Amino acid sequence: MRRTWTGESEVIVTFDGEIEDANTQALAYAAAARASGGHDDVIVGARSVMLVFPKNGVPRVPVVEPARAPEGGRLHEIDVTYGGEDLDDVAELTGLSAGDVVRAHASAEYRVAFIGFSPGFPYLLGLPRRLHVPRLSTPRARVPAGSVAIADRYSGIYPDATPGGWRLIGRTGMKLFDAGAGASVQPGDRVHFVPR
Amino acid sequence: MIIVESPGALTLVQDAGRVGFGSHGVPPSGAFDPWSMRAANLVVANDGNAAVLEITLRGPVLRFEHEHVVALAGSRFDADIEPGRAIVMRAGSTLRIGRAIDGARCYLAVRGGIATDTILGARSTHVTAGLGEPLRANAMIALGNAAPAGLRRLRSRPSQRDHVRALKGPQWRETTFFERDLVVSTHADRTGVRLDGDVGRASDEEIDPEPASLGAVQVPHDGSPIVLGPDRPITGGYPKIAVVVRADIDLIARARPGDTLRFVPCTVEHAREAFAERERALYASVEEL
Repeated sequence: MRRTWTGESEVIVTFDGEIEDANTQALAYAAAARASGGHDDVIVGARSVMLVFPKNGVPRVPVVEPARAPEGGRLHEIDVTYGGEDLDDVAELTGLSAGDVVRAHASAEYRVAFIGFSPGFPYLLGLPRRLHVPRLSTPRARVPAGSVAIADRYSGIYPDATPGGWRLIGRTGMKLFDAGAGASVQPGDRVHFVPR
Repeated sequence: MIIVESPGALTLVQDAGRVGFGSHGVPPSGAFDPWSMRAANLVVANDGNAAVLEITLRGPVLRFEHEHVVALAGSRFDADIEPGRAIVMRAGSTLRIGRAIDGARCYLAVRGGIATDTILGARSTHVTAGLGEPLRANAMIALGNAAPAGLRRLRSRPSQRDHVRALKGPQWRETTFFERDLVVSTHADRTGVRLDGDVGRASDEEIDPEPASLGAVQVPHDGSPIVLGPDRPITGGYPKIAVVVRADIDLIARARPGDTLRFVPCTVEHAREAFAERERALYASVEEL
């Protein structure tokens, strides 16, 4: 665990090791930091947590004992219509058939590692290794809302139409972000994709 | 009520920003230049963080239904009113704010504050996230109530500063970022301000995405640094070599394409002292008319 200032009132805490373990530690640290209070915000990254201290007052780095990983988290069953723009390319890159790509993607259990890129965009760990494919070399100017996508070790879902460089393999109607309530999935939650 | 006769290039309701939604992927937003927002608010006897209008490059034309006290602060714009002092707008009168003369952004405060609906706890607008929208022609903007108060002004304009102070960032590497002139590119908005010029790649590897703070300077593969603004993506995977201090964030907010910026290194302790000193100076410069 490494801690460093990343602003006058922000500290970033980084965890080393395999990404799954490091993310588990980050989630546990974030839960403990929230429980200890005294922050304006506690923000989870892939293997890090940013503690944001109030602007007025003297920031202190809290003594937070990394707790055990929060158990479970909510399970979201997300309906997906597979067959996105890049499904055939992913099949070619992985040497699998399109059907095998879909079966592999839908049979895994994912954990929401963190929310980033845009409001409500979940970075999901748990993508089977044989589906790890690089991002597009040229990002699309506009990815349709609800696109289910993969890139590197992550799967994700675009909540709204935005530019994006991940490979699109399906579409969901699930609403991932609401201006009144925030993100509908949270770091630590679990996700199953259900083909329909 | 304010009636928007013409919205200007990009006029946004902003306040001190949205606190506590980072894990929803929602950045704080808020006034890019909080110093000018606070100055304008203090002059009209508002709380420093009351919601204001952030005006970018070309300003709006606004009609006041009732009598209201207003003030402008920030970059100099071609406007009907003198900046840095409270002005009484008579019922039915119109305020025209034209083009920026220097810099990119100024702020209009109205006594009582802008009172649009809050979204996730703030009135700040984040256009691309769908949290509020820019001013549109014929829109009506709600205002808050305020107790009567005297008219105030700022005794002096903030002194001109030549350098932008910045902390070394979490992925600091030896680069040619500090102590040289960097030119603001045309890619400059509330997401981030891109600077022309290769400062040297910070590292060959991308990092696992991690939360980024306001003013963080990230360096993508082409070596051209980007200073992240209030509407930044909450996480980023490029190395962050520096972080602009809060006392100087207004220099980024006001910069416009073609301007030259020079960054100098600063410690966390000095950054906090500079912030406290500037805050003292701001309050000390407000006087009754």
